[in-house]
Amino acid sequence: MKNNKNKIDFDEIIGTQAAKELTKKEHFAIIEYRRKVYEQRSSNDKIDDMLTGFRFTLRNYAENEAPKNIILLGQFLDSILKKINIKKGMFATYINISPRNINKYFNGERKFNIDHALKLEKMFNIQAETLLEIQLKNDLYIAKSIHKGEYDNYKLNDLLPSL
Amino acid sequence: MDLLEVAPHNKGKDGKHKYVASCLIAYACGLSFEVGLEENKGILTFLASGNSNDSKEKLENLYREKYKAVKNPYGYMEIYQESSKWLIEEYLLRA
Repeated sequence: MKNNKNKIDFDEIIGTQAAKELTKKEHFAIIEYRRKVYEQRSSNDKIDDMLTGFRFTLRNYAENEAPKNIILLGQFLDSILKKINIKKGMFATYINISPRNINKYFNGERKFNIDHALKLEKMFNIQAETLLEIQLKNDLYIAKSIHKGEYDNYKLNDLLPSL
Repeated sequence: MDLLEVAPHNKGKDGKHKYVASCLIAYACGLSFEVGLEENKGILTFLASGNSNDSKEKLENLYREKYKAVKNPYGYMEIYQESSKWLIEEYLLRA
């Protein structure tokens, strides 16, 4: 048998350990300790924490085959911009969208294109594919809900030469 | 947590699912960044639970080594933001 230096053996039976709940005193002490740790974090660290959460949310949403609620890509962006204190007009100008139209992108009336997605990829460190996948998935879901049954009559057999 | 990885079909180098606990912990770290507020954002707190002090210490050392957890002054293991980000990168994004 191969000797593994890092191997640690345990002699435990699963599920025999009693669950331990925090007392109120412990809970407050831990929160107080966390606050001290938090105060030591720089503004950049705190922004990066929010962006990490943002990326995690987007990836989960993109991978979720049947999200409970439709959340538009623009809504995700609107939310993170508020959290990190970037004005949407400034954001719009930066990615070459007219500030007057940015709300149309946020509410789905206009669509983010490949050029926007590539800029957002660099800014937020999230793949353009993920961003566009969210937008496309939402659009398909909405179209299927609104036009239910409308496409049922489209069949390839209608075009195939009869045998 | 590491007891999750000892299911018979996950044992050894031919195990079916690798890094089960690590992936679950990384996912929990992601959730903490997603829904945690202010001082709680990105942090996980847990207790190393062993039947004896010896096995508890072994587990704590394992969590330090594998998940970059640290013990807070109140005896709880915690994974702080930078280690959480490392776990997410290592176990959720690299696959």
